[in-house]
Amino acid sequence: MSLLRVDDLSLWFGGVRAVDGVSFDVEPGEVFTIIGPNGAGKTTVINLLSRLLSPRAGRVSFDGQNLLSVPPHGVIGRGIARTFQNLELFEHATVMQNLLLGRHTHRATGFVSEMLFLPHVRAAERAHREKVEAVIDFLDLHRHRDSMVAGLPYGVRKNVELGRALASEPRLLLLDEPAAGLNPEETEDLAFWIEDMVADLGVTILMVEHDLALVNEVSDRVLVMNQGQAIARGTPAEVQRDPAVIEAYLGA
Amino acid sequence: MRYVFKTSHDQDIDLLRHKQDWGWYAALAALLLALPLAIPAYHVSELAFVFVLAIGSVGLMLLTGFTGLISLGHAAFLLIGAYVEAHALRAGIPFPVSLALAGLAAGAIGILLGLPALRLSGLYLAIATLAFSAIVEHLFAHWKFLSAGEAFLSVPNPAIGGVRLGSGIGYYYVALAVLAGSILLSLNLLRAPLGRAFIALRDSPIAAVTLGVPLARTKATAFALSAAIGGLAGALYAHKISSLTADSFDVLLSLKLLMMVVVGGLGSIKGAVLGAVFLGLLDPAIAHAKDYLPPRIAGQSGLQLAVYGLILVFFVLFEPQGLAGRWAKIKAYFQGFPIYRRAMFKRTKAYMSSERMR
Repeated sequence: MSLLRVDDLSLWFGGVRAVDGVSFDVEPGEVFTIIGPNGAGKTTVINLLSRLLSPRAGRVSFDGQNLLSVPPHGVIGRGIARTFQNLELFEHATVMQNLLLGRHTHRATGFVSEMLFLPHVRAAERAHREKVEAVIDFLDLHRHRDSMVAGLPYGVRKNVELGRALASEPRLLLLDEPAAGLNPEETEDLAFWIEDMVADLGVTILMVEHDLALVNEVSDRVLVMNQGQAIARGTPAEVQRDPAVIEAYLGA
Repeated sequence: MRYVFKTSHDQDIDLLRHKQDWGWYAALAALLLALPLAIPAYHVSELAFVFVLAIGSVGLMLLTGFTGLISLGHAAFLLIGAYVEAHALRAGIPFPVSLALAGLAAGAIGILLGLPALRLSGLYLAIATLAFSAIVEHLFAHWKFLSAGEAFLSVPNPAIGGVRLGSGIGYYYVALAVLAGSILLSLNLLRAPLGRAFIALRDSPIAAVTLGVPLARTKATAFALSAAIGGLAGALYAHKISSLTADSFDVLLSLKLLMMVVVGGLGSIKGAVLGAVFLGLLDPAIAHAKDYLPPRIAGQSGLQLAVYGLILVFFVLFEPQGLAGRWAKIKAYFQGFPIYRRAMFKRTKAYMSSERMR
């Protein structure tokens, strides 16, 4: 059974059809990529799936359950984490605090016991930090562990955001242009991490990406969008031969 | 530089980073405990009042410095705390219980204010809280049910273990205990998930939501906590002025509290206390300076406000991180001597959303 099933999803802003009847399925354990020219509605799809926007029509089910009845802050509890195209980090907090916020969905302590910092709060904190440490290992963030995010270079901040999403132990990870602004070396690292996340951590990935080299390298299936509509789907090689795709990109 | 070699998560969780810090704080505690025995009674009560301001400042710091929500009406929570304290004591409720009631009542009203304020931020929230405090002030001034029909509501002077609260020393120790308690509770919160959620709301509400932080509930909690601590400060304030009138809790007090957190340094509990101490010492200093100023300046009724304004402008321009930031820089200078460079703190000069007044 598909992990994520998107059915006839539509959203329009005034007269602009940002997403127009898009349907697709994401199978567990795959890397599913959405590509398309600027303004195709890719990020809007991500925002709809993370419930920051509500669709005008369509159905989304995750793991067999209706996702559209879940409030925005409940999405991560279902196992869907995301990153942002233009980084939404907690700038005046340390990398560690940012990653610990990724664990917020696993918070099991009440605020009175937190204020008194009872022993079980400390135990929970230790457990959270243990998990975060694994993410720091995975993404090689040791050096920046205690640094303020505000001063870090862009590539590291991008990793911190990925780490923050990963710290929540998601089943589905929504990556919105994870390679945007990265240098070739960092993009290469990202490709390895994506493969490792799928193979070792059992994460399914739905990403939006412009870097076609990366898309070719890691994607199992690709969906091409243009002006809110899905115009092609298949393996990376298949869609790149598709005449509709060539027309959308080159305007031929 | 002093690098900490970390061998366990507890080192990150503990409140104090270095073992030596325990010594410093123990010395500070001993000093504060012994001080009333050594200095004149007048100074004891002045110092106690600084503690009370610091309690209010810590409360506001949680809201403005950590959650990024600006309140220009925090005096209203102090007012509510003060009146609840007075009414509770007059009804025969014993002292520590009345203090708790004052905190709870202010906290409950805090939630009520927090709910409509959920959709507001920045300047609009500042205006809404300002309006709220004006309404509360008028309610308590004119509604007989709240003011007991008296222009000046007298506050009873309870005794704890034979010591009258109104007397200098008893008041001093109670204020110190409540301050220490609110600092400790705030610091605990800030190293736990809820405190991090506050910081998340301040820096990026949208990311906070996607990470599972419920926006409405967390904002309301921040308001409630901040208001409750403000209520405690108000209850102690009531004993200081001993006959209550709503005018004592006007916009000027709200501004003073906001100034404490800005001058102290947004996003630092230490800053909240430093800011309160700074402002607590500023008023006597201004009064003292009047003797030396030419009469045409010293006689101006707005002198105090003008000095406040100047100091605020000075801090916003030259030290946006406040006294706490300055403290950190001085510490870094001495710890790292001679490698300290001005640029070491350059990068962190980005403004927080609470400063940006979106």
